[in-house]
Amino acid sequence: MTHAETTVLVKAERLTKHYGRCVALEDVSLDVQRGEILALVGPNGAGKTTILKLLAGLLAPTSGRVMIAGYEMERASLEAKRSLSFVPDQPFVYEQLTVEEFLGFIGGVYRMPPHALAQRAEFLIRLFGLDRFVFQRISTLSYGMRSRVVLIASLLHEPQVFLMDEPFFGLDPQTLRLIKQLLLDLAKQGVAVVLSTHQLPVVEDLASRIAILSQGRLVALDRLDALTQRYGQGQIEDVFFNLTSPQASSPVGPARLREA
Amino acid sequence: MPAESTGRVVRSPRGGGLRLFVWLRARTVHAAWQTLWRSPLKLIVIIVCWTVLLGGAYLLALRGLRFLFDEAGVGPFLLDRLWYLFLFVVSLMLLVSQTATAYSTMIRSPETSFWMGLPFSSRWILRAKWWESSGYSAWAVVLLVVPIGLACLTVLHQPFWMLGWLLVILVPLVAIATALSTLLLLLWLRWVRFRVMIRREVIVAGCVLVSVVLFWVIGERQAPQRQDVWFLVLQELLPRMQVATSMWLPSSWTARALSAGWNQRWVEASVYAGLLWSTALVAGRLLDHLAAWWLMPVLRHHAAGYYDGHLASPEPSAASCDVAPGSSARFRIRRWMTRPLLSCVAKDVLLFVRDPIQWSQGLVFFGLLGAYFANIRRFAHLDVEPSWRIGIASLNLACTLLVFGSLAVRFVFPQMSLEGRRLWLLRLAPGGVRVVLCAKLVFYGMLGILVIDGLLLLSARRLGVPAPLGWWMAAVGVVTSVTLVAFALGLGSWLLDPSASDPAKIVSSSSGAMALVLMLAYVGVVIWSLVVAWTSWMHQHMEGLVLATAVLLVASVLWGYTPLRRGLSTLERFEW
Repeated sequence: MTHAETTVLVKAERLTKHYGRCVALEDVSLDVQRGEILALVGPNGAGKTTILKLLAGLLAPTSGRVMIAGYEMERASLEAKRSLSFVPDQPFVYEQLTVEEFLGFIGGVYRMPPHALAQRAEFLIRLFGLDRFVFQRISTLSYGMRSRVVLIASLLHEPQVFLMDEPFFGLDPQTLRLIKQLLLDLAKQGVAVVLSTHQLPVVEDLASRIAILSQGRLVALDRLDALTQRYGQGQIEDVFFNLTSPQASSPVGPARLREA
Repeated sequence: MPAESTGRVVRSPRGGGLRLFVWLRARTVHAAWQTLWRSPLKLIVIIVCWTVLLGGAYLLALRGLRFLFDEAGVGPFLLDRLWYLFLFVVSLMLLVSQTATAYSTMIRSPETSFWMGLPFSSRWILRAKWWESSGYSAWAVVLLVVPIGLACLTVLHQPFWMLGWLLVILVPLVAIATALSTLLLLLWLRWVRFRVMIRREVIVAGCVLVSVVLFWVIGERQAPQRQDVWFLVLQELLPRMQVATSMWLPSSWTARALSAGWNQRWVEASVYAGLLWSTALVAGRLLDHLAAWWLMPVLRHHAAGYYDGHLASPEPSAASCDVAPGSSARFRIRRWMTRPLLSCVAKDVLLFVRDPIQWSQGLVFFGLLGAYFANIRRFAHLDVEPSWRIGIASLNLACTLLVFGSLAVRFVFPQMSLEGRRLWLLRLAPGGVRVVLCAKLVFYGMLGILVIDGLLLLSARRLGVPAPLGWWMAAVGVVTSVTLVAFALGLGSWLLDPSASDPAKIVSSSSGAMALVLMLAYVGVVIWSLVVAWTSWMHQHMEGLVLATAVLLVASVLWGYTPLRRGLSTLERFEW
């Protein structure tokens, strides 16, 4: 099977990540098919961001390996990175550049032909309603508008794999709906989407499968209906609390808070 | 997704790789220039400051070099040897400066983390960041060399186009020094863990202290002799210059190429220039090949693991982290930090201690000064007159102030900008932003007083400066160190850039350059006061001493209080 024909676009095999003595992630394996949306959920510090950074090649695993669109991240990192896009929770932008210049830079990074870049950028700019802001500096834009610029930049090169860390934080309902629709459209076009979020209702709306992480371990990975059948009473919240229950008795659990 | 348009909006820069990087930086500079152009007053101040600085450096160098050149018989020889020493020191400065700059620009910059997510090879990232950090490290050095070079050309009656020759051979020297420094930094970070690094820094500090003690002991043993001063200066100085004139040093090749060019020996000059350029290319290729293998592991360990630019806080995501033994005890110890000012000072102390870049540079520079002051007794047999001893002590104070002022601009000036987004928390606290500013003033001011007065007392004792004048100098040390800190803090707050995350970039900006120039102007006023005080003491004119003290106090209020007041006002009115 060639790289282009691969149906499993994201493959993580026995990923483990240690920060010194701290175990951030332990023995996590998962794969994401073409056109699938995988939601990573879990309490704070469960390892969601770590797994996304490992998939994006920003961190090196202590053990295990990552395959993106058939390319192994360690051996063919450039090819793997060309196939993916990662939007972190606090994305970096060049604030002194205009939107046009920033998108031009990203197009240059991915060596997009000028005509294709212009067409794609214009389409995305219209889609995200940024027509009026194209020649403005990014530093003058609001948080929501910046988020749109970041999304356009990350979709410019038509990635096969789209990774997002907390994409719905601080967005107005309009932008929220726009991003949800965008993710569904991307999945329909065959893009594999992996996102981490705390917003369980959004997960219910979007995710093809849900991966629940707790204390650096993958405690469940399945479709929503299968998870609710097995662990909850039809509600994703129940599944979440049942599977991440050690948190309830942790030092900051409700009982401890009352004691304090 | 369907695309249906003509492509009128976004254009990408032609070509990829480093051309893309240059385009990106050019756009950023263009944006900065446009911002600057909107405030002509700021632009005029910067231009005037730079003109004064470069003109002053030229005139000062001209007088000094002429004085040396006119020394009967040995002038040209001294001038020639001075270049060896100067370029040697410049190389050392570049090595130290590049280590700090590359660490903040290459390793801890959020831009590097951003680039890591893009399809850039580690070699590309390394090259781009090496170029950038070399630029940040070297621009001041090059600007320092230009007026000195021009002054030297004037003294030697050489045509001014020879300055071009100086720049042609200076560029490879900068490249060699920065490449070597970057290599050593990556080697260190790749193979030595961060905690171990801190321990190593402590070892380095210990070595410096031991060296100071050794110098002290050796200096004490030196027996005083009476001989001709100039002869002994040369006798003492020339063997020490052998290090700077070693055939293995690129700085020595640069000096030789320079000397050969000035003496019209172009074949020899070309050989040395070729040697320099080929070594620079080899160093660059070596950096390309070796460091490209080390860069990614280093970045993955140091850069992607940080959420923010300048705080050494590892990523707080580890779910099953062990609680460090004794942490509750440490928490109890910190309970004394109940007052806002004390807790802010404690925060600054902790950040300072945990940022080796800050204190290691101070340690190196002040350690060298300390070693030199402790070793002054070795020159006591020159039988210098008491008035000259006071003069040397004054120059020592000026030198210490220059080093402290430079470090204040490098590290204290960007402090409030680096607090940036964190200020929302501190500003909401009952003490407000005033407390944050006061805490920094208290901490860095105390540190300055300790270092400057410590070194000053050492120097005064070794030179046998009369006690009243020694105490006067100590008072000058206190006033000037507090003023320098207040100036750097105040101006940094006044020209606040809360979006900045890289201290090297803040310092290299136009506001950083302005801070450096104004700091030099203040140190100039202090030196003038010291000279007046020195001559007044020699001639027993107490009025002169009073005048010097008055000028110093007025200048200190002007340089210290005014920016601090304006900075505080900016911080209080600033809308986050």
